[in-house]
Amino acid sequence: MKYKDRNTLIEGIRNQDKKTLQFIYAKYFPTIKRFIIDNQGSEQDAKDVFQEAIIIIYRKIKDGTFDLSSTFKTYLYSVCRFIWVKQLAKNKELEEDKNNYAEYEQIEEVHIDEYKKNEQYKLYQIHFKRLSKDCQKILQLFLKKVSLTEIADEMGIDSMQFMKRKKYKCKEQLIRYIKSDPNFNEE
Amino acid sequence: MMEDRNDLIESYLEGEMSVREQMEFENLLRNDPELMKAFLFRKNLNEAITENDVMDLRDNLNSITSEESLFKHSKKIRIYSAVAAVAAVLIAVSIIFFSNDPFNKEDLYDQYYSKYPSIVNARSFVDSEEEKIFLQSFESYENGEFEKAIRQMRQLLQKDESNNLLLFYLAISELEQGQLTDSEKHLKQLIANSNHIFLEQAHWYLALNYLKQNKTEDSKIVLNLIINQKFSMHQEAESLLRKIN
Repeated sequence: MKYKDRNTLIEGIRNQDKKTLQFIYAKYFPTIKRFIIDNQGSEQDAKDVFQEAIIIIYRKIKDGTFDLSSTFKTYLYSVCRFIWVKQLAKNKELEEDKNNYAEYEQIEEVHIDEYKKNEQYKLYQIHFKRLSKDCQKILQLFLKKVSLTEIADEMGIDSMQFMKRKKYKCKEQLIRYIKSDPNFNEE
Repeated sequence: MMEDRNDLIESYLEGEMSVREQMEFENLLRNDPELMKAFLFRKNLNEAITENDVMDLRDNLNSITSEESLFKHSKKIRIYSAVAAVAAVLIAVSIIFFSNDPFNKEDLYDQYYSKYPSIVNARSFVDSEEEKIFLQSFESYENGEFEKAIRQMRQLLQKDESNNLLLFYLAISELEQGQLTDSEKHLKQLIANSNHIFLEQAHWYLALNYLKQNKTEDSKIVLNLIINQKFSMHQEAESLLRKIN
């Protein structure tokens, strides 16, 4: 596997470059998977943690708060560890086995401010994707402050009343989905 | 009341309020923690659902992390198409053999029996010792090395006893090897597990197994069940039953 320096990786994540993301997955996922499985998780848990860690790093790069003092690898493992410890804490029956960390000595403790927001937004976004394509489009157009006439044109609908009612229904449907999700926590 | 509050929040967020209404609403917000909570929820929701870049990234990562598990996913797809293919072949076979041969159990078994095709692709991705043995066992099956297949599949089933796919192929391999009681036991186990795609095929092979064991009455019971339940092999079952009777 070819070596990629950290700037290449960061730029790749920023641009969502598929080759870079595949490289990161192929190179670092096996260690993450072993870590999660050693700590009461499944392979699917490991994949979820990996995905959200990359998204959190992406958010940091975008906000300009990504400050890399350690290597990319160390940082990625730390973020994954942070996410998994949080998930374990949510379920009190599961307790992290600190002894296992010895094997992953390169994993440092970090605090990720974006964690909570990311979890919350992920839940909203997953339910948003469950809506019909029309609903997704109409809600986004409204939020982008596109004028009603333009939305009507775009959607091929000519009644404003109908448009507004449709938008209202879509939004309430989305909120119903979210509120019935056991992971939803309104704070 | 709740509806009104939500409408108020939405019209504030969409910028539909006059300056005066906005100020009044902000005042309400400061003094009503419940309203504030509802407001923040809807505000964050709006922000979340317009994060197209994050949603795209998640989709991208999803496809990358599931490419690796092609092994597991494609397996399922192949099973379904294989089931359909086998059903078609067997219907054809049953039409060819739809004749009034005198009743001879051995002959009937040979006429109606055909080995279920292997549905696992040996070139699939492998990331553990178990998956390696798994693929090898299907290679053995494919090559007609049933003794080897039986050994490998039993080894895997010790660790993963609820794997119906393995159980099914083990039962067929045992049938091939003439280990009829083991095969019968495993087919019955499959029928008891019930919630899997081999259920109908397991009945069919059990009927054939009984036929080979000379348990004609048991075979007839299973064949009747296949016919009554309109399982995928019911036409074959009808034709076989006619010949037995």
